[in-house]
Amino acid sequence: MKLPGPGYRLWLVLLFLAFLPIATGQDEYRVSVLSGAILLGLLGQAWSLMARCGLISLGHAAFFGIGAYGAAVSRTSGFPLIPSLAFGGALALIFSMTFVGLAGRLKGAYFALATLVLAAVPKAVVMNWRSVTGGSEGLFGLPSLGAITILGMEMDPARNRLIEYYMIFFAVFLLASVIWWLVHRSRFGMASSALRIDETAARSLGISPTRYKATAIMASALFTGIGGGLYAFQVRYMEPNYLFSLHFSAIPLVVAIFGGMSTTWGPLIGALILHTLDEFVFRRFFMTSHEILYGLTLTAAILLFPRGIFKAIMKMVGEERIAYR
Amino acid sequence: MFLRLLFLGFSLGTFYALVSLGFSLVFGVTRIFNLAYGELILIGAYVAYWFVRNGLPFVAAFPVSIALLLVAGWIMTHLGFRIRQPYVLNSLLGTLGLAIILQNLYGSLFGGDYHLLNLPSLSGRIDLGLFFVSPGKFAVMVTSLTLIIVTHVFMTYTDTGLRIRATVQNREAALLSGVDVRRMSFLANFLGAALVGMAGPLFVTVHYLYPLAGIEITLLAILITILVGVGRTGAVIIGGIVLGIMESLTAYYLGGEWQEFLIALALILMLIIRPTGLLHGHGEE
Repeated sequence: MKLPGPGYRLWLVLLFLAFLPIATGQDEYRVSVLSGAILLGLLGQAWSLMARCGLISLGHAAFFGIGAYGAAVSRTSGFPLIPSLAFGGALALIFSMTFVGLAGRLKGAYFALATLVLAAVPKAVVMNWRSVTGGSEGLFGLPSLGAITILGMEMDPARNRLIEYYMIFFAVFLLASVIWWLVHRSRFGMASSALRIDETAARSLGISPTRYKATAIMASALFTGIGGGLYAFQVRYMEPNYLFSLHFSAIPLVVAIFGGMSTTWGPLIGALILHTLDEFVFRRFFMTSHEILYGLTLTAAILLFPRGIFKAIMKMVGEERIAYR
Repeated sequence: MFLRLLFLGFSLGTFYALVSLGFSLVFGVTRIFNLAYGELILIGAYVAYWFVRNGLPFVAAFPVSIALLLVAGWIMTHLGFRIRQPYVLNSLLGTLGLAIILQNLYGSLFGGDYHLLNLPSLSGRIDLGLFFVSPGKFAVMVTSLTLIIVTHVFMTYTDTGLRIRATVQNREAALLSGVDVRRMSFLANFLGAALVGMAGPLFVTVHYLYPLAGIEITLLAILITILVGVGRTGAVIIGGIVLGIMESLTAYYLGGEWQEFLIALALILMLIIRPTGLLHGHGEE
């Protein structure tokens, strides 16, 4: 395989990430932090897929929570792991389709405002469908990921080795990244950028805003839903008030904006920096209010480097082109 | 019971109207959807809570709250100049960040508990003939109505008010007619911040106070502003009262947990029915 130009360093970074947990001596806490960062990177990438079309979502907690509940409920009723994750993702996808049908034509800030309240809809369903979702108390004691076989190696998280979790997270993330990277180089990526920059001009070139935007929203919802499922199996309990809170709507967009929302790798870099900072520094010193990190980062990023830290750094090093890959 | 619910909704509605009046004034001149708006109101609410806790008079919270809000408004206006294109979306994200900062600040300063102020001077009951109400609800209603009417009269019948409205409706045309647009924007921001400063301490008497209480107020303010249109000081009160009565009726007959869902539904429906949004009829966007 031909390495893609100067971007090969990024593939090296990924390779490094893949083996990092082994290098850190498989310390459980550190590996779980790294898994969290990878998951956050996935969410950030999914969020930025919409942002690339100029659609700012303030309600990704809706897709995330639907995916988590879908996966958890189907897993507890006996489905295998991967179909459960897919089921959660599919539910999020269906929900996003109804949203697109209702509000897909809204523009700019009005679209963003409509997404702001989106999570209240699945939350009301979860709270009142007690027999399936456990109502406001949530679900506890979910099964873990369970043993699966990847490339002939048996992965069994039940042996309490978080490294397997990490591998599964990393596999999903890698899959998503490759898809994003291909999408970014395709007609779809070009068309979404065109829509973001000037919708009228893009339409005059024959790009249908409705179609491209709908596709972006649905793909974003699908991957956020799968991310929600992974999260459910990692924490193994669900609490609707937390899952559908502003927190899960905010973190994907914070890591994406901090890292650089119009790049494939920006959200991952943002997630790695912010999540490790949160876990190792902020959670220790500001126990009850560690999320202030995400607020500070968001406001600072908007005011100081709205194109993301990744581009800002690459510009400093003089390799700005890499940032666009 | 029904009449009592209507009255409670009415008194809550006047408070909502006051809150959305401040939002609508600032939105009118800045075109920023301030997602930290509810959190700004909580500044005054926490000041009032802290005052009463430490034996200071409740009324003294108002000037302190207004002063803090004016400072906050001044800082935000100056940071706002730094926001780059796409301006509206970036300001939306920037204020969301501010909302998260303030929520966590309240959490670490005052803890995550729910507080409700029980002022001896505002408890007890007044006999209105058909039902009883608490003096607190009455005081909130009278204060809110007074502030709204004063603002309405100022905006409608004074020359400066007319200039502010012109700036809100069409900035370029106002500039061409010789209105000092920058000064009017500053005045509208100032007035908005003062109204928010007044609304803050009132909040603790009508609502439970906790670090995440702001988002609901933000949503209500946006909803009412979309419902009645920007810069319409008179219509705001009708929008507020309609929502207040709706809330008190649904809380009694359906239960409080449906409130968030209903606000969400109302906002999405409003956005779909009036997709041009707040600028409807002003020929923009």
